[in-house]
Amino acid sequence: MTIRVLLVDDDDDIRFLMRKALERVSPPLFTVAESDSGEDALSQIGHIDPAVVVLDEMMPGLSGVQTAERILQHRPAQTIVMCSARLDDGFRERATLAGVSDFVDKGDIRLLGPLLQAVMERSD
Amino acid sequence: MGVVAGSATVARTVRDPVVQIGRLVDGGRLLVSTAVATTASVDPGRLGGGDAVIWIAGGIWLPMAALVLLHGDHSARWIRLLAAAVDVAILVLLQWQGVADPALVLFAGLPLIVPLGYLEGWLVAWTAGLAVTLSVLLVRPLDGGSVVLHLTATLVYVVGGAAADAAARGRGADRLLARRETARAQLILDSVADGVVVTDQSGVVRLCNPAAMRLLDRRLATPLGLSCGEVMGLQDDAGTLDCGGGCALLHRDQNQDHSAAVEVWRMRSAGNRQPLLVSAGRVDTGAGDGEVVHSLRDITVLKEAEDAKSLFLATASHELKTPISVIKGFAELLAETPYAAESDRRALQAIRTRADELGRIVDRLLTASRVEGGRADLRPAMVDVALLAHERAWAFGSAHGVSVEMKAPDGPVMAWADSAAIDTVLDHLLDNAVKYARDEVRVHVVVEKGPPPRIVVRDEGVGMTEEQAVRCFDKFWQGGALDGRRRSGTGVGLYIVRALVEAMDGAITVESVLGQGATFVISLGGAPEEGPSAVDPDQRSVEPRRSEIKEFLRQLGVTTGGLSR
Repeated sequence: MTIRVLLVDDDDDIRFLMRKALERVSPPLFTVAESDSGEDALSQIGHIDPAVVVLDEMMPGLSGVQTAERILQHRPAQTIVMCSARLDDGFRERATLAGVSDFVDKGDIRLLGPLLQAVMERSD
Repeated sequence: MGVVAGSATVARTVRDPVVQIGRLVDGGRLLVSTAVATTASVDPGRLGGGDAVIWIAGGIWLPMAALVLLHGDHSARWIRLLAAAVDVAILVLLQWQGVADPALVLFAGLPLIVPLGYLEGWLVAWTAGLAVTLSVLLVRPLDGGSVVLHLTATLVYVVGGAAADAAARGRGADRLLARRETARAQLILDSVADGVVVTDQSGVVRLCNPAAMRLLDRRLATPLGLSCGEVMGLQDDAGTLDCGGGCALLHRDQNQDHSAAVEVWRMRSAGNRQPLLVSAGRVDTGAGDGEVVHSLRDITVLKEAEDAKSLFLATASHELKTPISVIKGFAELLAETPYAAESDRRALQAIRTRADELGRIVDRLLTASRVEGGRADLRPAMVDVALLAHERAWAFGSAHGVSVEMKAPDGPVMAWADSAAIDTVLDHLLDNAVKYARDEVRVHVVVEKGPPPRIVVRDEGVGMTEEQAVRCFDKFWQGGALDGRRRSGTGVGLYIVRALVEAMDGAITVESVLGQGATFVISLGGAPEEGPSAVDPDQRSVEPRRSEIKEFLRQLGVTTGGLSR
């Protein structure tokens, strides 16, 4: 029984690295699905039904916060983690208001596995 | 040389009182006062029928008097000369008629000669005097008694005329000087680039130079006579400056006579803001009415450049973070694969280290731009700084392969701080310790409970001179470490460190001995004394500092062709 994760980031390499980080966790804990934009994530999310969504903050088209808002409209219990830059310009405020529960720094992709584990344990 | 100086002094001694007197008189006053004086000194007993005619008719000086009194000193020259000639003619005529006593005539000539000297110069006065004297001589030729009379009269005419002339010249020279000074001051005001607005005690505008007119969009309407608020309408974050109780700018500064230059703004007629740098100074004219001089400078361009720079920094930093993360991520990935060749391992290590370094530099630049933009949002709370220091020391040590010696009391050390800020501060200080190390890196971190709670970062590196220690917290200051080695870095590290520490109501000091190392001491506080309602614990921002755009661009290697105004 693995945790389904939806990674949403317009950058292919970042998604690749995140996937690798999650697959590195042993024993295997995560099943990873990917989306390269907020719009694509919204269209896929019903089908994928992830336990947690990892959203990049800055994307062309729908921003991370906008995507989060829309996701939560249809799936209010969705756990959302946002990938952010440190010392952000009030993004954190808006994101939290929108319903994002956790933040991860882009420099700490390596730690995504343990971080998501902790998030899931907390929400159980 | 001495003779010239001496005679110049004598001339001045004689001239100065005359000039002083000259300031008090003008042609009209001179005429009236001489006339009154001569009249008063005439012995009424001497006035016979004919003489009385002269005085009563006042024909001697009436034309001149009328002219001068009606037109002041500005009547046309030819009219004045004509009037003088008429006066002389009357005097001469009256003598031919045998009406007047010559002595009296000579006497009566005085109120004519002296003002003439003042108005027309000594030559005209002496000519008139000569005419009067000659006319008397023609009627009554010279004899023993009259020689004295004539000599006295001549002397009085000459001296009176010359003195009056001198007085006039002195006054004229003064006036000329005053006019030149005024013209010069006006020229200076007209050409100065900053706007100058002078208001009187009640805030009414008395002077507005062309630069101010341009600055305040007042191309047509004159600002004179309007109030300070109507003409300038300065505002700051607290609202419109209220000069009801005296100039608001002067009130801001405790020193009531001069204010420092402050940033304010006003609404342009177009509806947008115009940022200005304004200073005010009180002018005491000695007459008791305090005027205030305002100097205004439009800093729109400066502000736009500042904003552009901040935006550039913030955007660039964000943009840079993703590729840096990718580089680091892949390097880490590769590092986990067992690689046979030692050089490959080494290569990967280098990539990771340098990517880390890049990331830190970007973070630093981003923080610097926020710090000065007043947007470094800190969320201080009571945190265990000992724990933070432990974590940071360990993380730094393992990342750089150095051992950081930690010393802290058992148990938590609580202090009022923002954890991310503490992380950043410790990172910078530890970074510096490594950067300025001598042969091997030795750095100690000590946490003290206090009170006040303190974090001490001590290294045994190359140290600093006294001057360097004083300036090391300046923005863009990079100690040229005296061991000659070049170090990388942007120089904004310690500037940020101090700004962050101070934003948490803390303080940071440094002590250093050249050649032996440096010790940085951060003192923090307990919870702030104000109640929770007074201070919003969720938000602290660092006071914006004036940005040195040129220096910043120079550091980035950009030549300031466009922005150097």
